[in-house]
Amino acid sequence: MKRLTSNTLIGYLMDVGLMLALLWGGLSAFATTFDLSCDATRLGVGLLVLGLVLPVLYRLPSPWSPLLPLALLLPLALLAWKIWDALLPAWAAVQCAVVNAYAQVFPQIPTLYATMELSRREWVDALTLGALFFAALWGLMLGWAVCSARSFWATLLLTLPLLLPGVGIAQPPALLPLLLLLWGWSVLLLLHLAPRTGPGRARLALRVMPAVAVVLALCAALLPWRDYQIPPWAVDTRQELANSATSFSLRMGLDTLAEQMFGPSSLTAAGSSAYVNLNQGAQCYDGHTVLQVESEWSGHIYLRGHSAALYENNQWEPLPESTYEGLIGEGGRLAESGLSALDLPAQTSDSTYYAFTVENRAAPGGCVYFPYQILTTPSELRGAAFVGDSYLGRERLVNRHTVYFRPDALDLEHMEGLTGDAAQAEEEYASFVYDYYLQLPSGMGQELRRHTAAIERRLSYSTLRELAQIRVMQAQTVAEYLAGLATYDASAPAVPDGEDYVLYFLNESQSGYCMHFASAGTLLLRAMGIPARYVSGYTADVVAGRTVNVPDQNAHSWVEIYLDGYGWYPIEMTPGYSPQRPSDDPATPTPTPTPTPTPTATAAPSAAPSASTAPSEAPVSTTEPDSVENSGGNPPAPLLWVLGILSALVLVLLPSRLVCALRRRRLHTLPPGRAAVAAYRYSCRLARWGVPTPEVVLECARRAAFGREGPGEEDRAALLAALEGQLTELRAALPAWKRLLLRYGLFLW
Amino acid sequence: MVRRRILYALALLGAVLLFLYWEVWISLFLLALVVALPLLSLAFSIPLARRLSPTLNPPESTPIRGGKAFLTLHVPAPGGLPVVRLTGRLVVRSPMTGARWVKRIRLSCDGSPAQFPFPLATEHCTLLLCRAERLRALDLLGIFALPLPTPVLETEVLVRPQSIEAGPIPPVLGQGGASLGLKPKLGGGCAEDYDLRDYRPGDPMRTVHWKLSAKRDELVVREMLVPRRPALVLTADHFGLPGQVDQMLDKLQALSLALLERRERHWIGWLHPVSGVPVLLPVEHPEGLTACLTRFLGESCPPTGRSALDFALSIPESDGPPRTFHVTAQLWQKEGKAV
Repeated sequence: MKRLTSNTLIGYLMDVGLMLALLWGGLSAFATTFDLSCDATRLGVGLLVLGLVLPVLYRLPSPWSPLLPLALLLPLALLAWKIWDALLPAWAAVQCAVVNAYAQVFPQIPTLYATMELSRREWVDALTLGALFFAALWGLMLGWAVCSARSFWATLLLTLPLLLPGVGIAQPPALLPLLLLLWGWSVLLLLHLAPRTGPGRARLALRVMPAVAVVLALCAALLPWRDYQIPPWAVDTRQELANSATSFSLRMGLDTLAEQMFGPSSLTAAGSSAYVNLNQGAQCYDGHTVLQVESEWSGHIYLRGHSAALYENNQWEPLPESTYEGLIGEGGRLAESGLSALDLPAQTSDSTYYAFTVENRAAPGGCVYFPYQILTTPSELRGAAFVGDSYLGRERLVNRHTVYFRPDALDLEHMEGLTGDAAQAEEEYASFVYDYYLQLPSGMGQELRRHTAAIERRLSYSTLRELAQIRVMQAQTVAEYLAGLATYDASAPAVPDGEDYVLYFLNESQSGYCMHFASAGTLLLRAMGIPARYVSGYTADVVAGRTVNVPDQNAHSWVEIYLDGYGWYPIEMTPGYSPQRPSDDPATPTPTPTPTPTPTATAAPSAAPSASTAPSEAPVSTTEPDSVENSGGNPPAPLLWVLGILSALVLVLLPSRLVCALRRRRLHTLPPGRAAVAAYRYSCRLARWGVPTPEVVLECARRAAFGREGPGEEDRAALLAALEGQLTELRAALPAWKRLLLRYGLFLW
Repeated sequence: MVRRRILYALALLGAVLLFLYWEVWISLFLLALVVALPLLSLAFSIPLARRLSPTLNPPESTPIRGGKAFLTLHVPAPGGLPVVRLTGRLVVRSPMTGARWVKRIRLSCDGSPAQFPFPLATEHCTLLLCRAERLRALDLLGIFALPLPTPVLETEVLVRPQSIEAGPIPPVLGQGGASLGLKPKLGGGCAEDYDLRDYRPGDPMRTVHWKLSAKRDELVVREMLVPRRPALVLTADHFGLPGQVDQMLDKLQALSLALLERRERHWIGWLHPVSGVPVLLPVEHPEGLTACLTRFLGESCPPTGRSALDFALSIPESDGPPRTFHVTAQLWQKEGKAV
């Protein structure tokens, strides 16, 4: 009896300790997170009383416990309703503290101010009263979890909500309350498998409680929590993880899938995308490799991703798919020529061409990043296909592509002009370009007029004859104008609400990064009557014969202008960035290629995903709105779907067929005795579903197992017939879903 | 345990990810705690598991066919600490019928010695070979299975035939040997019965019946006689359907006990149902009968096999050919007579 009393006392003290730790730890953790001040003495005394009383309440004999303590919740709730006026200041203080803490992190959340005019002492008193009242209500539930149910999970569920608000804004509580909470959780976790009653639990708790306290004290003493900084190896690991995850998702084609399923906003990595939301601020880069390129050509190069045609609501969008009908066929072919719109420029020259291999390691967008001017035609492409005149779509699971390009085709002085089908296709495509790549948002032309007039004053036509060269000169003049007007700033803030991205850049901020310059350049060129479009991708310094890694900070955007009789021509708009050019000495590769572009290592972010897919005004007014959504992704190859479905069917059907074939073979080819035993086992499996084992099977199995002479060949036929009968009976007795389950899930036939 | 391991793996993964991506010192504490808790749990559980030595006990009294019998797993409480979870499996095998039962052991103790009964199948006479194996004690978190010092426990339980009242002893077994005749007592000496015969050279002089020799004028000697005692053998067939074998064993046990009551030493024999090898065991007391039944029930009993009737058992100690009686399930069933 003495032993029993001692254990009961130990158990009670254990519950008191846990209750005090969790009550005080939980409330103090919340209070210190949000800097709420309470009267420590009164709160401590109140919690001590609760900690002593609640375990007693939950130790009352059944049915008083746990009904009585839980029933107390109702009068307490009624009391709260009655004295709500007294509790209101505490509630207001908590609301203000939490909301204001969040407002510091999220500027869009407005700051709250309590309207009650109370002195600091009155606020503290009110908060103490509120905390004690909450502790009484909360403690009744917590007492059930700790003292009655002795459930770790219920306790965690009741205490964690006090920590979570701080976690949301990375605001940690004070150390001691957190340690007390962790101590309570750890003790309950270590005891949760032990029997809830009995002398052993108290003895175990006596050992576990101090041990956990020692571990936590060691943590507090040894871990650098005061000036905590994440160790460098953890940063490296984080980067490696991000690289691996992105690379894996791209290798598996999950980026395209996510884009198709959740829209363009599902992409977050720096690179190119069909939709470019200009409202999003500058992105951070971690320097992981997104592309790996190889070529026999050396020089600075653009790696083109998506181009965008429509500018509306601070967003670049591609043309709806329906606009290409009748002009661009399957695989991006222009009419009968067999060339894509992006192939045209390379046809204007017969200079040397080079192979260019690009492996997508982590670049988003579902596209192949390829250099200007590509020579590979749609019919020669493998694992990719041109989509409209906008980009080269990458097939899912294909990450490595080789294309041919003719870099010298960018040199307009040696341009020979298109001939034959290519010339005819270009002529038809040019009218399309003039229809769709001169569009400006309504009213934008007037706004840009001041700038275009200033640009035109700089132009001099006296020495230029060729239209192409004139246009390039005009575009370069636009770039020079922008370079003089605005400054490059990689950390330019986001555009204020209600402001147009381009106009705010041109007229107000006059600072920005490549997206600003490219967007403004595109619209200015259009306002000047030059077809232009916004392009995003990467830049790289390739070295002949070497593999070059392209990091994500090489993401960039620039402008393409359309040259009649030639095609799309890249123009660099961002000051400090150099256009595509061969290296000074192509024969001598640069010894240490640097993938980081000029002017800074922290290049401006490129195409960011968009949450909006609103179509633009003029061109879209004649098109189907739904088609806009489909133009951004790379449609899955039908063959892949067919293969996937076939594989799934094979995976479902094959095991069943295989197991049945093996079973049939066993029953037919094994010696009769072993076959009888196998048949018996099979029959027993069938019998579990309601059809008893046939007597013949039983008898044969008995003879095989115990008889002096086992069953013979003549019994095999009877055995198989009996099994077939049992199967038939079973099939007739079961509903369809069970038949499917038995066949394809349990492989019973 | 798999569920708890998965949960712990998820918790560890979550703590690692939190540590990597949430640059607040709490994440460091959480990670340290998630790593330290299993170690702490092992620190408490390993000494406990090393001192834990459960025992597997057969029923206190030998179970009778059709009665209730329980196997008991006794779990001590080393240090008065609770055993949060003891896992393993109990395998009960009947060599007689070839049946095998497997029961999962999953129990916990509150810190005092505990006994956990497991019911046994007693519908047939058999020797049950019981084995508790894969015994493991889980740690406090339930994610490690710690082996015990004795991971395997074994015991045997004999399910005896039912006690029935014995019928009349078959005549072939004699009435205590009285009707089986007398034989000369080797070495002479004293005996209740004797016979007179002519003197043969070599007979001791003290065996000469002098008075009668004088009357008949030739030497007559007195030859002491003792009862003739051939070996009594009960044979049985070690095959048949379980129900028939059970009934046969009831009769065999009753007959053997009846003979033992009459202090008749006897033998019980059978042939191996497949190989035909004879098995002959002496029964001089009830323990001998138990040993004999244990041997009989510890071997496989197929539906058909070689009968003891097909083989003549010979016993060297027997006075002449042994008196053999083949016990079957039909004994004492026809008009109360032995068959």
